[in-house]
Order: sequence, then structure tokens, then C-alpha cells
Amino acid sequence: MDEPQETGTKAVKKAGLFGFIRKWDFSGEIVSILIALIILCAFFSLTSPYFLTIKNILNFTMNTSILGIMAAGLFIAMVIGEIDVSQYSILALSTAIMVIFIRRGMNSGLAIVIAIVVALVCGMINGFSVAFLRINPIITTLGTMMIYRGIAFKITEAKALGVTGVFFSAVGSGRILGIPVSVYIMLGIYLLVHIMLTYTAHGKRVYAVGGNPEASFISGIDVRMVRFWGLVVSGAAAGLAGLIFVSQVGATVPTAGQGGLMDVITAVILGGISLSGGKGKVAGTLIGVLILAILSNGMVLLSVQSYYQTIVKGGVILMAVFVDSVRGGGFK
Amino acid sequence: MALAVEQECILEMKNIHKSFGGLKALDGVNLDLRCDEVIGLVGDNAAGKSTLMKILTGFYHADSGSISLDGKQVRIDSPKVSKRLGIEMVYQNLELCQNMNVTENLFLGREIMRDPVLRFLKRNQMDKKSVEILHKLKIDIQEPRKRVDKLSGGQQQAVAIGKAVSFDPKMLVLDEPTANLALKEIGKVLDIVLQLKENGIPAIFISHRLDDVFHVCDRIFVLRGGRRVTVKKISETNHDEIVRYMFLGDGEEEPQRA
Repeated sequence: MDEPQETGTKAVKKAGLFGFIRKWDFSGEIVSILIALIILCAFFSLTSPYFLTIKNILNFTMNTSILGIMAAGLFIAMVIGEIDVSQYSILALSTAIMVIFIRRGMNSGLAIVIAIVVALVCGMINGFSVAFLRINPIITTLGTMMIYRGIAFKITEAKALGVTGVFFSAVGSGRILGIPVSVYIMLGIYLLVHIMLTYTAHGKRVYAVGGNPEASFISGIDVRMVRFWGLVVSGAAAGLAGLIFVSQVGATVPTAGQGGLMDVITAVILGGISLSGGKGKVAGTLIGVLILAILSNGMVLLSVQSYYQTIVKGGVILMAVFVDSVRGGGFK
Repeated sequence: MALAVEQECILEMKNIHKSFGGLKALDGVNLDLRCDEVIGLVGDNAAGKSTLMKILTGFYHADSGSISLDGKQVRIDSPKVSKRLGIEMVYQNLELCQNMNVTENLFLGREIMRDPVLRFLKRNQMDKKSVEILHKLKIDIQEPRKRVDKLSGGQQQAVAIGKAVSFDPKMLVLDEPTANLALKEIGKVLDIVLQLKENGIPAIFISHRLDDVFHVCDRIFVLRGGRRVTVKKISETNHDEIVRYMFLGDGEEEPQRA
């Protein structure tokens, strides 16, 4: 180590394929789920003639964007070591408030801002309970899930409320170069999350708190604030996903996502995250989302009965949790 | 046994008392650390070593007693205050984030950033500085972006010490830095401790391994049952005598003072 500075910098700048892989930190898990995705695509393209058609691909990628955006937000919370099962309820509540305001004559832009603020406030309530009151995140978000859902039912009187507008039709059915706008929004969010986690101090602190909260505290990081913001981001993602939901469905539905509570969590776990926090890449979550979407889409194309679809999805959840525990994760 | 003060005293803990409920964890303990020296703090389990150091680093508050740094009495209310005063501690259970790389660990919580809002990192500058910090301590880790969990136990301990030193501390507290290490790695960590001394950073070295204490320390403080049993110059004592003090406590027991 005669010239440590040069040696160190040289090591950092080491180019080539390995350097690229290391830079992106494509761990074994991401490669393995990428292979799983390819196998799944190959299987459905061999068994269904419709699977690889442009129409079908655009269809399921569009349907993926709601799940995908929520998963990107949940990913951050889960890297910190938290979990959020209230996302679909936040979606239902924020969109319900937005649509009610629009139906009463409020400007759509303002109502959209209000929807995002509502989602942020819901996330803040979750974050405050978990980070400052130290209530277990599953218990907290199970509780708030029911509260937010209950309010959504109350204010909509348990009815689907339709809404139209330029924004909603642009996001819901607009396309750029043939690709749905909602897919661009989802990919943009993934890119932002990736940049934030890889290149900023915020991102490093997210991983640090998830990996070792004691070390983070000793290093002067405000662990509680990181935990708080993790759940706020998760809530905000649900709010954004809600805007796309309303755009695609053309209405707010108080029951939105009630059957798919575990879909988002499954997608994130499939993507290689650890349930105990500190590990995972958001690119993996995107692949996890695609696996779930392709699985649902493929089973519909093969006319698999919905009971069996539910069973398969349940199996995937179990498998994802099993893989996580083999990797050494599991709840803290 | 009072030793004559030969050098400037950087730290002085006087008559420290601490109880947990009815249990007396520390009973009038005195400890002093001089510039350019490493002192050993030894004792059996529940002797009070960790409690004393947790008081010094602000995790516990002493019931009574005083702490002086550079001759000035200080009040250490929290780990933050302790750090601000220049006291850094390297913990026994390696307070590193195993999921992050060497540079990220060294700069955790005080990253070099391009801007204060978005907080984009100056990653190359941080890597360069990491290598510099480690080089100062003659730590042979050449890849600052290597994940910490890919390093050996000794290298991890070296990074932990490097991290503490990078704060430019007045003094270091090393809590069992050689515990759980393979024999050949222990030597490397002890070399780093000696290097610290050479670089003018005084340290308190807590250990159960007397060989290590005798290798790097100038003086040795023995605690037993929450009391300081003795303090000896390393050159004036031996293993047997220290073991006797640790387990039988037949040395000079300090009188309790109000």
C-alpha cells in the first residue's frame, strides 16, 4: 500500500462488466428473479398465443402501474425495516375526498393537490405512530387501514363515484409513442427512487437505518425521522397510485384494492428485499411487480379459474417469504 | 495506589457513583487518562467497566462524581455531547452497517454532499478520503466500495476504529476491540491501537485479554464489584498480579468518598 490513494481510486474506477454489475449492485437475488421473470414469460408465450401480442403487453403494463407505484413507496419503508398494509386504504380515502370535491365543483387541480395532501397526512399518522410512539408497524398500519377504509366508505356512502376531466383522461387513456402515460409515470418514479437511494445521503441513511439502527443513531442520524419519512413516502405513493386508479377506472371505489392487500408486499419481497430491512434494490421491486402482473395476466389468458389464481398467488407469497427467510431476513 | 502525574491529564473521572435500583454498579471510581497513552481497563464481568464508559460516552448519567476534560469540568448528558467533546467510542459489537460499504460506513451521518437539500453525494471525494483515513492508520483496505460484510472481522474492526478516528477525536474508548477475532487478526488490530498512540490519540482499552492489554497499554486500571481495585504501570506489574486483583481484589481498595 505504497500509494494508497491511487490504489483506492483505481479500484473504484475499475471498468468492465464486473465494474458495471458492481456499480448497479445486481446481487444474486436480482439475477435470479430476472431469470424467474424470463421463465414465466417463456411459459405463458408458449401456452397462450395472445400473451406476446402488443395489445396484451400494453394492457398488463398499464394495469401494473398502480401496483408498481405503491410498491416503489413501500420498498422505501421496507428497506427501513417498516411495513405498510394501509396503502390501498389510503388510496381509497384520498381519491374519495378528491372525487367528492370535484363533484361539488372544485377545480380538479386543487382537488388533486388535496388528494396528495390527504395521502401525506395518512402517511404521517402511520409514521408518527411507528417512529415516535414505537407501535409495531404491522399493528399500526392494520389499524389505520381499517380507519382510512371506514372513512372512505362513510364519505362515499359505500358507492363508486364517477369523475371525468382532462387530467384523468390523459393519465388514464393517454399514450406517448404507443405506451400508456401511466407506465411513464411509474418508470419515472422508479428512476427517481433509484437515484435517491444510490446517489444521495437520504438514500444512504435509509439503508443505514434499515441495516443497523443503533449504528445509525451513534453516527448522528435521526433514526426516528428516517422511519417517519419512510411511511410518509409510502403513503404518498399510495396517493399517486390513487390518481392513476381514478384515471383508469373513471371513478373512486371505496373497496379499491381490498382483495389485493398482500399484492404490493409480495411484489416487494419477490424483488429481493429483506423483511428485516437494509437490503434490496428498487429495480428488483419493479421485476417483482412485473412477475405478479404477468402471473395474473397469464392465468387469465389460460382461463385458469379465479379460485386457482388465488391459490397460486398465495403460494407465491409463501414462496417469497420462504426465500426471504432462507436469505436470512425475517421480521425483527 | 496514586501515581504521580507525569504528563498532562486529558481526562479525569473523579469519584463516580452509579446505582441501578439497589445495585451499586460503580462505587467512587477514579480514572485518569494522559496525553499519548493507552490505558487498559480490566475486570471481571459486572466489574463496572461498561457502566463507567457508558457514563463517559453519555449513555448513562452518574449519580455523583465529576468528569474533567483538559482540566475543565464537563457535563455529559448524551452521546451527542460526548462526541462533541471529542470522545469517540468503538463498540464491542462493531457498530457498522454490514449492508453498506467501507466509505458509506466511514462517512455515515456526515456525508460529503454537493448540496444541502437534495444531498447528492460527492462519492469519489468520499472514497479518496476513506483511503486517506485508513492509510493514516496503516489499515490495508484498498477498495473503499467493498461491502463491510465481505471484510474479515479484523478488517471490520479496523474500519470501526478508522471511523472513530476520522472524527478527529481527543480520545478514543475501545470496547473489547479484539474480542471474537482470529489470532492473526488480533495482532493487526493491536498494531492499529499502537499507531493511534503514535498519532497522538490517547485511548482507553477495555479487554478481557490481558495479553493484548500488556501489549498496547501504558497503565492498567482494575475494577472489581464497581470499585477501582488498583492502577499499575504496565512495566511494574505482571499477568498474575493483575489476575489476582481482578478476581480476589486483594489490592489497594480505594476508600469511599462522599
